[in-house]
Amino acid sequence: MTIEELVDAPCTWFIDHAPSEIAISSRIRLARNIEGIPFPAHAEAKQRASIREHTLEMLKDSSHFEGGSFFRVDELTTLQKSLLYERSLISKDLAEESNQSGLAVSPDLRDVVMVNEEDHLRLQVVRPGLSLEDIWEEISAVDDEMEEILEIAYSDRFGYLTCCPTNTGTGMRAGVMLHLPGLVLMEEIRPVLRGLGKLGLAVRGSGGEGSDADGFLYQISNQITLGRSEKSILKDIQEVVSELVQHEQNARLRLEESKPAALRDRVGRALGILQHAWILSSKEALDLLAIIRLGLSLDLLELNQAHEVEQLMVEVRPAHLQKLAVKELSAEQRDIFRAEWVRSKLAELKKGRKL
Amino acid sequence: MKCDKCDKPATVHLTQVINGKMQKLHLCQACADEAGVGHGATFSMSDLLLGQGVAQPLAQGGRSRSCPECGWTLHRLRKAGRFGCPACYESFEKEVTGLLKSIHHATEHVGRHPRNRVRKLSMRNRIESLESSISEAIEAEEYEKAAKYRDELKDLQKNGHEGGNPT
Repeated sequence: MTIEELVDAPCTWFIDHAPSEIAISSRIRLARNIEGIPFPAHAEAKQRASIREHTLEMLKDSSHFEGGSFFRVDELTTLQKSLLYERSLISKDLAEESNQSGLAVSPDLRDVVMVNEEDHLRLQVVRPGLSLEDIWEEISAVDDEMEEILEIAYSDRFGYLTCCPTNTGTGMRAGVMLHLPGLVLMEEIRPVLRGLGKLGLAVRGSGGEGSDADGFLYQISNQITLGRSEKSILKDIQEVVSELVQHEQNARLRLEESKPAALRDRVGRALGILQHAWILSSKEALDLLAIIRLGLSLDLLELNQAHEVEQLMVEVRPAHLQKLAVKELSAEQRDIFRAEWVRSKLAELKKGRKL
Repeated sequence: MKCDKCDKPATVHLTQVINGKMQKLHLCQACADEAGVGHGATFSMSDLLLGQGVAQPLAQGGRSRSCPECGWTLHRLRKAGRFGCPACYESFEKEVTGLLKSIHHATEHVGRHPRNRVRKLSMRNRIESLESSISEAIEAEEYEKAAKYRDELKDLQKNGHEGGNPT
């Protein structure tokens, strides 16, 4: 698959579900390194290049990646790298600093190996919905296959040896992306987030580290990687997320009960702005689309092909938008084009409004 | 909550973002005073985590120890909070143990290990994995399996080695 085909393929993990779905996607990544070679930041360019070539070559023949896509990330354009980042196929760090780094994507686009990110290898599996257990089975199988061919740095005492001590042990970061507009609008999100911190879980905006919660999207993930087995960490996250989903459902119902006019006003205004705005920033578009998503889930709105709203939430991101425009756009031009794109899409989707 | 350096109750709670990663540290008043934090001053988290044993040779201008494998120094470990190569873990073992304890409140790995190498798992790791297998089997109502794991666990605890062949 070429890079063009890859970024044209639908972003299934994000759009394969109904707008009422609260747990949008689940992800597990494993940090792995090769014995006897300095970590990428300390390795020489020659060593990094050799790891990349060797690993990509080996993955081409592996059962999970055979027939997939393989890239030298530093040979891609900035826009292509941003597209991959917006689709969670590479990290922000790799998009920005990609010397001698590589990327392997399985044919179904679910399994990813980043080569020479902070660690030599970062395996990642993403699936729609809350499915950490299934992902664990899948990523373990990929890991098994890698371990048969590569000598992975591991110590009986410390577990998998990683560049940063915050990943030592399992090397695993598992997370679930949640859509929580109900809790935000009921002004109950802060205590919930504080509670998660006490349980040793990290909460971030949808874009990963350091990003805001655009579109009411939150990522919940583990912080501890040492002293607890992967399965017990995953079980904890699964339980906490199930509980959060219930809280969110509950908050949405209470929102409708206690502030029916305010809720309809919010949804109606969101639709109005999206249908008539001429300038839209990425954050504003995502926030408003998230409100539309909430309106759809509470049956306040009716749109033909409601799942197109999910697709729009991917398309309004800066790099995807430039791909749609088929040219590079300045930030200002992007906001104008974004508004135009959303207007035309919503006109296609328009049906009645219930409210 | 206990102090990360001694076991007294922690009253000073610090959060610092290093390279985009958030780290938390909980100290009792005495340890916080000793480290000179708690008054809004900036501080080096790794300094605190790694303790005075690390700060002192550097402060005295002594030569910083380095990893024989890759040349990464203790100074760089302190500064960057990152390792140079997998062997650094052994080269700076004492400091690493303290660092990991502060971050994870644990110093030994439990869980998955590479399948391609026959490894003697540490006793604790093996026990923990058997215990989790037992509860998983019970949850799945596979009582025969659970009983088998339980026997294995008893054997292990009694003899200090594995009963049957490693699986």
